[in-house]
Amino acid sequence: MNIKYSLCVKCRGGRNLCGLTYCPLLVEYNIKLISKTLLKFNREIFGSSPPSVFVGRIGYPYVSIGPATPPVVGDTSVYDLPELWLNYTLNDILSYRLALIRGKCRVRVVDVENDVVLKLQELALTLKPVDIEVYLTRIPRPRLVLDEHMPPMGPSSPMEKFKIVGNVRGDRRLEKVYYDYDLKARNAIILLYESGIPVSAIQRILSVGGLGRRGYRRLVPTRWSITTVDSIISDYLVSKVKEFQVISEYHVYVDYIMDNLFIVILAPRPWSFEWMEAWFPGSTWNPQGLKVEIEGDYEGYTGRTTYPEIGGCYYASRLAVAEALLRMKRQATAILWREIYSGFNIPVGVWFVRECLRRILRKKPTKFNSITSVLSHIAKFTRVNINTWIDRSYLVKTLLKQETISKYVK
Amino acid sequence: MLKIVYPDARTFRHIIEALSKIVDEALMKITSEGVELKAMDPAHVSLLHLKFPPEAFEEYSVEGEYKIGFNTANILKLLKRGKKGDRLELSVEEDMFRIALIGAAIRAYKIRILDIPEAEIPEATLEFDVSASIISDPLKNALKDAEAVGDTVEFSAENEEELIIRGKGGEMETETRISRESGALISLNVKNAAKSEYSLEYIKNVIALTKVADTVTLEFSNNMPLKLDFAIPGEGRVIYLLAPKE
Repeated sequence: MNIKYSLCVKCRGGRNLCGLTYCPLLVEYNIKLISKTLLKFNREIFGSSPPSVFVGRIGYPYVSIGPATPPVVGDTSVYDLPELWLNYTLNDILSYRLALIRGKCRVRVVDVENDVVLKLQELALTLKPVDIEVYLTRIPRPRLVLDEHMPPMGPSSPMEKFKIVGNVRGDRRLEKVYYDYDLKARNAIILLYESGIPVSAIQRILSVGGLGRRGYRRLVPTRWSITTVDSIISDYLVSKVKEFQVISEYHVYVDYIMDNLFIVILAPRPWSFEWMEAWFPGSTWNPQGLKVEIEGDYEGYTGRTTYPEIGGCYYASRLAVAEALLRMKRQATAILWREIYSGFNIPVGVWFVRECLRRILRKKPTKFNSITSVLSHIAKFTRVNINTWIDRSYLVKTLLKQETISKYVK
Repeated sequence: MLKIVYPDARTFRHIIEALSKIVDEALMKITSEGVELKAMDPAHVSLLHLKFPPEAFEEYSVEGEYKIGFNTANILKLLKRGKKGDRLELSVEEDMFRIALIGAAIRAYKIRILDIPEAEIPEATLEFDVSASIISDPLKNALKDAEAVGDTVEFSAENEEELIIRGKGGEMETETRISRESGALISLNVKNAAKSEYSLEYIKNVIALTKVADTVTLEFSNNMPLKLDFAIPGEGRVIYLLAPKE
């Protein structure tokens, strides 16, 4: 069967654009990993949940939900805290995730006062590991679910019930918005972010229906809640960034992280944003292609009205860059490019983009006076020909070609 | 004292609609000489200039000079409430700006005047090689066609017979020819043959203005700004200046 791999870059295992009911790419990864890791599980799992909860998207509005825990007791925070994962290797992250065993049961998304849901909300209200017991209906087979948007997921099985054994010390900030039934979810998300709650924890509480006004709370599939939170927070940050002055020079950040090249150009123009990815043959979403597939999207000063074609990583990267501009107290046109090489061939989730960019943007930028010198500097790093990048980049073309009116009127 | 009445609220709405796409906040100057507003987009690529002399209004009594700062999106929201045939009355009460839509009933809105610093927006005195006066509808369609194929629009005129508008994208192109024969061209003066490209991202902001102006005067030269002069029925003018793409 012939699959157009440019479709895979857009679909990422989520929309079945190739016409198959499953994603052949994801299945292949699963099988490889199962054969490598034969773990023995019990039907009763006792462990410290990091805490970790999951809401599926298949079958919406009837979704499969449940807690996840590794079969170990102790400080398991790192199992579900993407903010820390860049300090580990990809293998470490995958083996943490593989050990997370997940119980599932089906619930309607409006049923936010269901017993299981209430217990999941209790878990999502804390930032520290909680001891839980999960009684599964069968022994789960070892496997790993990989998805572009979500962190990797370990084995799962339907569950009979689950119990919270240990003491739950809820976080005060999370509890405050959880018990506030007059606070809109959007405002709650912003409030939590401002009070220093990690983005991943906000996503967790949103996905178990813990935010919003009474009657409007819903279970939100994990995959969707990640993008929702990135998008709401970055919208809020961007509106603040627009009040600042424009930077005076071009700032360029370049870095390699795990077979990925990230390039950030901050241009001395009012806010606009572009995110583009070049998938090399052999990388996750372009496994058998012969040429590099470049996809991306951009927004002007006033933002977008449609969902970006490239998907959730657009908002994850937008969040990272908006945070950086806010720290600088400046606004700029941000152009972000990523090259993914063949060694990076498993999807790990958008957290990777967000955390990589957060790290890169804390470094010192190289400064330039003109877009042409910026481009010749970048050309030293990119494996994609710089002219191909320029040709695909709407914002760089605008910087190169669009004149300003101030030049003509005096 | 300020009280002015404009005969058609919908015209005003379309103008504000175009303005709201260019700037978030604007400053309107009202004097005994007329109403004037200048706005430059945040990237300094385009400039919108509104000029309404007292004759454009049904009633015009202004003493002194008024500078009214407002949020364009807010005003647009109110003006959208207007119905066909409504008249528009503007007045000032202390630090509030009063907009009344006069139709079967009088509906009034009051908005606090924003304190917006008067930006130094220079006057444009440019000479152009090509000057064409055309019916606005074909221009609107040409721009919409261009939007369907790409992000760039090119205006060109080689002789005084016809004006060509091309939409350009990576893979597609479209072409609109406006000539005297087709009836859409009112006049065309060409000093030197000229051709110049502009970004549709910007020019599409003023497509709304083709709804209020029957004719548009269009001026450009090689790699020089584009000037669109929309003649509003009953005296008013809206001038749009856009920097070229190289």
